Parts: sequence; structure tokens; C-alpha cells
Amino acid sequence: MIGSGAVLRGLRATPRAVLRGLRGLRVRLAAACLLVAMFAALTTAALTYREARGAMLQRAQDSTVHSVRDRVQTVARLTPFPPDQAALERIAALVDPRTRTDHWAVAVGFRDLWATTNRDFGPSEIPTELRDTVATRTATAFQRVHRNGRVLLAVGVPIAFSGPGRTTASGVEVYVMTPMQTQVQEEAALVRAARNGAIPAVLAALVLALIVAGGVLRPVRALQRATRRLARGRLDTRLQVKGGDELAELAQDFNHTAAALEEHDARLRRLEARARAFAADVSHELRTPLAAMTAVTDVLDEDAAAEQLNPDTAAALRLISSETGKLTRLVDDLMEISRFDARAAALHVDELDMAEAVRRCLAARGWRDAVATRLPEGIRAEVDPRRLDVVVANLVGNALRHGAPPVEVALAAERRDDGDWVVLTVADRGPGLAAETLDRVFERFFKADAARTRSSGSGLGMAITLENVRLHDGLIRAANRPDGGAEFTVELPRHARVGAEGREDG
Amino acid sequence: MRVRRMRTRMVTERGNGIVRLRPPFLAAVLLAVGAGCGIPATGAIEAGQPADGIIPPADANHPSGVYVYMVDAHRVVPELRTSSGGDSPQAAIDLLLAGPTREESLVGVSTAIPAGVGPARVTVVERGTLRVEMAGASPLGETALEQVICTAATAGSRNLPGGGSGVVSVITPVQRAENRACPTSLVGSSGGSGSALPPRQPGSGPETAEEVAPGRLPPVVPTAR
Repeated sequence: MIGSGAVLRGLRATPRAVLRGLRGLRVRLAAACLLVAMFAALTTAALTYREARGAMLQRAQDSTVHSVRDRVQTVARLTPFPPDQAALERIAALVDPRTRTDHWAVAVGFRDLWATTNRDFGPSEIPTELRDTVATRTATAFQRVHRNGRVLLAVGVPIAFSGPGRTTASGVEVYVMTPMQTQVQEEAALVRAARNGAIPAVLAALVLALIVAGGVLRPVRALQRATRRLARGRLDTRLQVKGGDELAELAQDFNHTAAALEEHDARLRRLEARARAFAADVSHELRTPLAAMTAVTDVLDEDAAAEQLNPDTAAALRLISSETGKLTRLVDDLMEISRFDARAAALHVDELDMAEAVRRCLAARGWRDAVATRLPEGIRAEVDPRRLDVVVANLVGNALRHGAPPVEVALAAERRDDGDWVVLTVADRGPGLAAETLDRVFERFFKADAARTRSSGSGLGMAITLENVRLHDGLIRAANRPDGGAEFTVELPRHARVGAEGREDG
Repeated sequence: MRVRRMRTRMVTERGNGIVRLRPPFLAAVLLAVGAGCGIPATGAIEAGQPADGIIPPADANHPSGVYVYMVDAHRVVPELRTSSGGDSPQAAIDLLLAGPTREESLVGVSTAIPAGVGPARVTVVERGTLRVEMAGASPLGETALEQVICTAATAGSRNLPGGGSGVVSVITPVQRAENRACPTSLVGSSGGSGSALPPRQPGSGPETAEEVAPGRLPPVVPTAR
């Protein structure tokens, strides 16, 4: 029932179900794992990248600064003071290494004089901040700048005087600007490396996250399955308790609950079985004395019939005789019911002509004239002849006793999706059944009319009928005809099912 | 049924919790990733001492200075000396031939020039090339030659108009090294031919020291002393 409900809901609200699936524990767990992994991978990649970039830039800058300063120092020894324009140009020319790998633009300044190696490179191209630092701090300095989409390294080297006690600035400043082409390429390679490292790591993390989430959720799903099994009545359902986490505790709690339920259920079943056994025993014990009483009353009945007794005694005897007969029927019915309860009732099927079987049943009880029949020939079915007789006799007897004539018995064959069926209908023209009694009419000792407590039936007839029909895997229902009167419908499968005897009690 | 409803409620509550948590978390990740790819610009960063090497002009308190190339741990290095005789190449070579000072000797600075070499005469020949003629029978090793050439070239470049050519010829009675440049200075080396230098002619580049066979000794120019 739960299952079909869920299916119905799923069919009706598919987008919502999908949304719920996306918000499911597995997805959320996987997402959480993935986020953590992404955070770790990306942070690691980013930090590694930054470190590597920093080291790479520092190495390149140190190398360039060192190289510039070295060359400036060497050239400074060759330089007269104060230098004239020609001397500045000589410095610029000598500082520029002019190799294929290094493209240095060199500018040398001394007071207002400037010399450059490159015509379109002048003092205005040098970053102001760098010039300020070199001039005020008298220290070698460098600065990275972006010009026209290129990254340039600008190095400024002031030249100090050499000589004892003469470390003041000479006023000659050398600036070198060089594109950081190699470093830009290396940086791109670093980004590539970081990405090539991080993306597979994140993908691997996704797979791992799904696996881990599946692993974590396995006990949850097992719990869900077990709960549904338990809800279907499988009280022996138990979970395997693994580990000592909260889910394991939950599984243990589930097992305790299931065990308690099972024990409770077993105790109830035991009590019920004992009660049934008691009823069976009682009826069995009553049979022997009843048999003796019946024999005696039969003899006395004959005496009464022969008018050998005085009238009062004869009346009392007839009362005793009829009550003894009822008691015998009651005990017989009780024993029959007990056999059903004990599942000792066996089905002995035989292929019968249904119309013939019904006619024989009515004839045996002398009801041929009291009952209108509509029995088409040729409807054959695999049924237990004795039990069919009990069903027909109970229903017709019930109709004759409580309903009004004409009582009709009809037979029909129906072909349905789930097989071929024989439909037997017993209807009367009486007042019908009250609405609230319709579904209680098959209960044991149920009397439709509370005032009519002393009917001739045992009160078990309809219950026995129900059990017999059920034994055939058939259906029985009571209804009121639209034009008045009660109608009982019995549906029996035309082909007995294999193993019908061991049918479970639903 | 009750179980299912409970589970659903749990999901929504917890789900909202995660949804609330997500934006800052993602933002942090994206910030960490997006923060600065590429090479950022910087301000001016100091990177150590200035260069030095320019000798201030002599005045009343300070005598002239010259660089004399000495040997320190097998390397030819410039040593700054004060010179009472000016800063001409001649004065520099004279100081070189005088050997290391006491202070230099104490710290392990020496000379590779044999004791018997000298005195020398430095002249300027065509296109700013210096010619160092030295007396003495001991041949100069490669290191000693480098000392002479570098000392003369460095002094010459500060003294000669336009800095000279940086090329030096060293002539001794037993040896002749023509048109040599100082390998540690940038002048006259392959990369150092700037506009201030005269264009070098093919075949007139630096040559290796050529040991002159005694039988083919070039005529030694007697120097007037």
C-alpha cells in the first residue's frame, strides 16, 4: 500500500520527486565532499601556484638586477667624472649586453644629461616611483610595470663614488627596462600546470565523493528497506549491525523494536491458538455425550410419536429432542470452523458440472420446488463437491429461512483478466439486509435480527460458507438488490490453483 | 507513512542549512582561485646597495685614484689605489709594477707579474689603442698579461678622449701581445662595441698571447729613459 502510494505520488509529481532526489542525502553528501575536495584542491593549487610564481619571479628579477648592477659596476670603473654626454652614451652602450635573449633598453642620466640605447626610450618611460626611490634612497631598486599589455621589469641602479670615505652618490643613475616575456610564458605554464593538476583532482574527488556517499548511505537504505519489510508484516526482519556509529545504533534500535513487535505478535498468536484449540477441544468433548443424548431422544421420540407418554412429558421430550438436535448441529459447525482455524481443512477438487451439482444439492434437501433456478448447462469447474454443497445449502437455506420467496439461484461463467470464473448468485425477495449488517453478515454468531435469537441456525453457517469459498480462492459478498431482497454472490475460479490447500489467511 | 513524512521534513531543514552555507563557501573558493593569475605590477622595490666604481675627481683633500688589477684567489680583480702621480695609464702601470701594498698582501692579494719586469712605458697609438712597452727578460703569464692589459685599459678609458678603444698591446723583450682587450671589463669584448667605440676591423680583434720565438724576435724599440 505504501509502495503503490509512493508510485502514484511519483507519477503525479515527477519534477518534485526529481527535486527531492537532487536534495537527497546521497547528492548532498557527495556535494559536500566535492566542495571540500574542490576547496582543498583549488587552495592547494592556488597556493602552490603563488609560491612557484613568486619564486620564479624573484629568481628572474634577482638575476636581472644582479646582472644590471654587475655591468653598471664594471662600466663605472671606466667612467670619468663628471661624465659628459659621450661618457653617458658609452655607459649606456656598455651596459646593454645586446645578446639575443636579453632586450634591454638602457637609459643613463646625470643631472640633466640623458643617454639611451633606444631612440624611443627616454627618461619619461621610466616609472616615476622607481626614479624617486633610486634618487632618494640611493639604492638599487626594481619595479614591475604593465605597458601596452606587456609586463616590463624596470631596474634602477644609482652609481656611488668609490674611494676611501667616499660612498656618496655620484648622481649617475642607470635604468634598464626589459620585457618579462620568459616569465609571462613560465607563468602561463604554471597556470596550466595548476589547472591540469586541480581538474583531475576535482574529478577524482567527485568519483570518490559518490562512492563515499554511497557507502555512508548504504546502512540508511538498508534501514529503509527493512522498515518497509516490517511494515508489510515481516516481523522477522533484522538489520546487520556493523561498526559503532550513530547509524549502527539506529540499526540496533530497529532490531530491538522489531524483536519486541515479533515477540508481542507471537504471544498474541499463541493466545489465539490456545483459544481456538480450547473451542475445538470443547466441541470434541461435547460430541460423545451428545451422541448418547441423541440416541436416547430418538428412542423417546419414537415413544412419544406412538403416544405412549402423557402429553406433558411428550411436549417436554420434543423440546429436549429439538434442542439436542440444534446442539449437535452447533457442535458440528464449531468443529468445522475449528478445522478451518487450525488450517486442517483440505480441498479435494473434482471437475464438476456446476448446474448438476447445484441441482443435486437442492434435491437432497427437498428444495427443488421452493427455489427458482437459472442453471445453464455445460459450466464445468474444478471445485470440492462436498464444500460446494455446503456453500449452496447454507446460502439457499439462509435465503429460505430469513428472506421471502421466490428464492432464485443463478449460475454464470465469466472470463476475466485473471482467469475464468463461475458466478453463483442466491437472491431472495425479503426485506434485505440493513446497511450496517452487510459486511458483518459473515461474522461468527452474527444475527442480523437481534430479536430473533432463537433461530434454527447455529449462527456459524455464513462463517463456514465464507471459509469454504476462501478455501477455493473464491470471493463471496452480500448485497441488497435494487428492487428489494438480499443477494449473495459467490465467485469461484474454474481452475483450482495448485497448492490451494496451503493458502495463507489474509 | 509517518516515517516518510519525518524524513522529508528532515531533508528540507538540513537542505536549507546547506543552501545557506553555500554562497560564502563558493565565494571563498572562487576568490582563492581567481585571486591574481598573471604577473601583477609592483611598486618600486629596493634591491640592495647602489653600484659604485666612479672615482671622484681629485681635489685638495683627495688624491687621484686609479684601478690596479691584482690577483685575488686566482682571479684578476681591480684594486682602488690612491695615486700621487695622477690617474694616467702610465701612473696606473707604474703602481701595478710596484706590486701589492702591505694591506693587500695581508688579505692575500698578490701579483702574477715576475719581479724583474719593468719599468714600463705607456704610449697612445692610433685610434686610442694603448701600447705598453716593458723591460725585463721574464715572460709574462696569461694572468700577468691580463693584469697589465686591464690596468692600462681601465685607466685609459677614463683618461683618453672618448674613452679610448679599450685595446692594449703589450710588448716586452721576449713577448708580444697585440691588440688585447681586458676580459673582465666590457670594453673591447664582443658585446661591448657601442657607438662610443670605433668600429672594429675584421681580423683586428683580440688575439691570444703569442709567444715569440727567440729567432724571430721583433726589433725591440729602445726606449729613451
